[in-house]
Amino acid sequence: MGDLLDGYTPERAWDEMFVGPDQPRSHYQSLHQVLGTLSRDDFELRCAARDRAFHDQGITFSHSGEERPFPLDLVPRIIDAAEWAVVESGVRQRVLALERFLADVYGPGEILADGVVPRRLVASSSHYHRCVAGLDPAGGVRVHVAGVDLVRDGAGSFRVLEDNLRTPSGISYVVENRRAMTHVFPELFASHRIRRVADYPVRLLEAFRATAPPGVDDPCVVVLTPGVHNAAYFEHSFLARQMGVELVEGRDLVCRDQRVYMRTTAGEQRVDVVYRRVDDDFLDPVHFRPDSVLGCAGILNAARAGNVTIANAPGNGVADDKAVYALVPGIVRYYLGEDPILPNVETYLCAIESDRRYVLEHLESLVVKTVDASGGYGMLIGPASTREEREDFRRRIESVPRAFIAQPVVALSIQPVLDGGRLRPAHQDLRPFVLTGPSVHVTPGGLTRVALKPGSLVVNSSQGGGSRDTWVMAENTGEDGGA
Amino acid sequence: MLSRAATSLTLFGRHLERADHLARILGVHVALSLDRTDEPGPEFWMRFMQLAGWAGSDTGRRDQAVEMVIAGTLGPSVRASIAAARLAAQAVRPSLPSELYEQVNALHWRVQEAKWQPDLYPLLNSVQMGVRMVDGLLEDTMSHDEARDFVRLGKFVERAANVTAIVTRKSAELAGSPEDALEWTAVLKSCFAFELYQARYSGGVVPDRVIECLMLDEALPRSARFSAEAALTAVMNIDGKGKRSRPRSLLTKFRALFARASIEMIAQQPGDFYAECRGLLRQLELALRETYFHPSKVPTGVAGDQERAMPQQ
Repeated sequence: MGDLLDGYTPERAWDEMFVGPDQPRSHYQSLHQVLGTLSRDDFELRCAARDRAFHDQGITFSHSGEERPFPLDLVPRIIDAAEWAVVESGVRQRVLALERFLADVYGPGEILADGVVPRRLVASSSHYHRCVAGLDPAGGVRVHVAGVDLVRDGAGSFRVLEDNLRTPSGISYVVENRRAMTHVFPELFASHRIRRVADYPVRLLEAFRATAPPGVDDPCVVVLTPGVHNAAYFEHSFLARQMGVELVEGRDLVCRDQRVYMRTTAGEQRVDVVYRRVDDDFLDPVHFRPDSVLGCAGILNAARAGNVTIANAPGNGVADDKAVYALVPGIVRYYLGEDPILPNVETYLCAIESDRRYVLEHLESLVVKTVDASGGYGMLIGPASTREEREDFRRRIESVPRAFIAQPVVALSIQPVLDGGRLRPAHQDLRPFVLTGPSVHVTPGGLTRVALKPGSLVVNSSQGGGSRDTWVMAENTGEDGGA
Repeated sequence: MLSRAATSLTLFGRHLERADHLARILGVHVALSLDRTDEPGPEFWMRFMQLAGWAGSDTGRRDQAVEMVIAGTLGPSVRASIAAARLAAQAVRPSLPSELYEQVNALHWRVQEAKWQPDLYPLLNSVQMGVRMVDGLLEDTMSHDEARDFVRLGKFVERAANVTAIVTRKSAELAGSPEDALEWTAVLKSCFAFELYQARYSGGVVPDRVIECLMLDEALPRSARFSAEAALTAVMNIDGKGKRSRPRSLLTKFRALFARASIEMIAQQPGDFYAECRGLLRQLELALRETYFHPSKVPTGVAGDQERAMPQQ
């Protein structure tokens, strides 16, 4: 009998694995049995094998300019088929509604005219770009790839924490985490029927090909990266390699006659779909930051002329603005006539005076977020903040109220992580990835991000977060299981 | 193929070859300095540093030379060459088989984290075997297409330049001193050619035969002539049938230089021969840029400088 699980005590939050001390949830029983046979030394040995593999394979991310292996905790998260069905429908519904919202905002603006979303809120978003108005993307798809961040509250219900509709990252770690787990824990895969994630790149390419400009039989797809120094470069090269397409930088592209070409050794070659992993601000110096050399001058005009598909479409950030997030339940009802399947976290908009007053009076107990920030930056976690930090945020909120929202602290669910040879609870979230092409597809599972610092609620890799493999169990209907 | 990818693949081949070359000449010269009755004077190490590409270096001690050629940052070093090869590989990662990239990456970390005191040889051996492994993966797992040809182009141009430099320099330096044979043996070992030389020639190591072997042999993969031929073949493959690019013309001239040369000519006027080679290789560098690498004229540092302004979602 192993000692790995000895001394693990769940905290006062929803524990993904345990109902009570040494009482695993039903869908974790098999995993619990296997882990129960392991000693700490066994587990450490497997961790070392994982570290060596990630190190040599270059599965890394850039942290403050330093290259680090992406941290993977070896205890997987398990979601049963019935619960996943709800999550899948919920994120699909949300992405469908936000797709309609973007088409409306950059088109007729009916939702604004009907007052469901204040026009001022949209127009004042730093991610709303007038130059995108009237752009009619091929197949009507703007959100080819979405990452919807979910958390489980204290009662165990999934809630949406934020939407990522610009350049959501993390899918490469989902696929590589799975590959690493099959090497490190083959016996677990023999005893579980797990839905596969390895086909993501194939589906991604399918989505791009389906949304290429009309009349192109064999579209040329490229991945546009800011370059090898970008924090997510591993992911960019991973996706290009897995899809079998070129990984280009801005300097490889040129626009001529409203068409995009890449510079090759055999001359210029036409490009039909650009999966850009470059922010809007850097995408096209003609329309956005004129000093950018990371994008391609004229690409937006080429997209407007229908000669190239940009995935995701420019201007999507207006729909994942954290202030607009608060209104997404209404957006779902407006376009789909349905109640949201996945609720939001309660949110206060500092742009609204009554909300602002409440936020300023309760800074100590709320999480305040900057509406256009990502990566876990621009946040104040009230209970963990100092007086100086709160005063700083108070001044900033009073100065630009539109730039902030606040939410109550959600005690993110917990699960064991290995720390110093012992298992201890750590908070985590879940980012399922949604692809829109010929149809909408939700990758089973997604990236579970783990706050590795004890007690921390910040799961972003740029701030010391890690990840774990996420298993969605196959239903007993002969559904595909495997790595 | 993307022009930028062609640039990176060529650099990849070139830097790996340089790392291998530096590791090999360092190992051979350290052995040479130890296997003698007296400690060589500072001029021995100064000449070695020149050979390793540290022009103007006045390093006259073994430990300093080892430190600089393994890990120096102000001139060519094993560590810097492997880091540059890895960076080039990263830039074209989708064009390389995963196994190949992983070998380069693992080699990079081994060299970054390595200690070379007190025993230097495990590290040098690990570098050389690592490069051999990458060579093998290149041949066995990578499609024999344009991407591989650009790697081979970089590798063989670098090799031809290195071999020419080492042979012509030694020809100029060694003027019949009693240790000639020992030094020429070191040259052969530096070029992976000692055993082949022994098998082919009888009567000991003599300068003329070393020159013939390392500069003019058509079958020895480490000879300058073989390397020039291999580089030309790579460019002909890249160009395809019927195209006569400027790099192809220059490499044809470069090959002809070795085909026409005689042992006497190189032995008597090594400086002139070297200068002629260098002149052609400089022209080739410009021609490669204009023909295949044109977009790389954009400064490569710019993209990295701006990435911090772009958090990922």
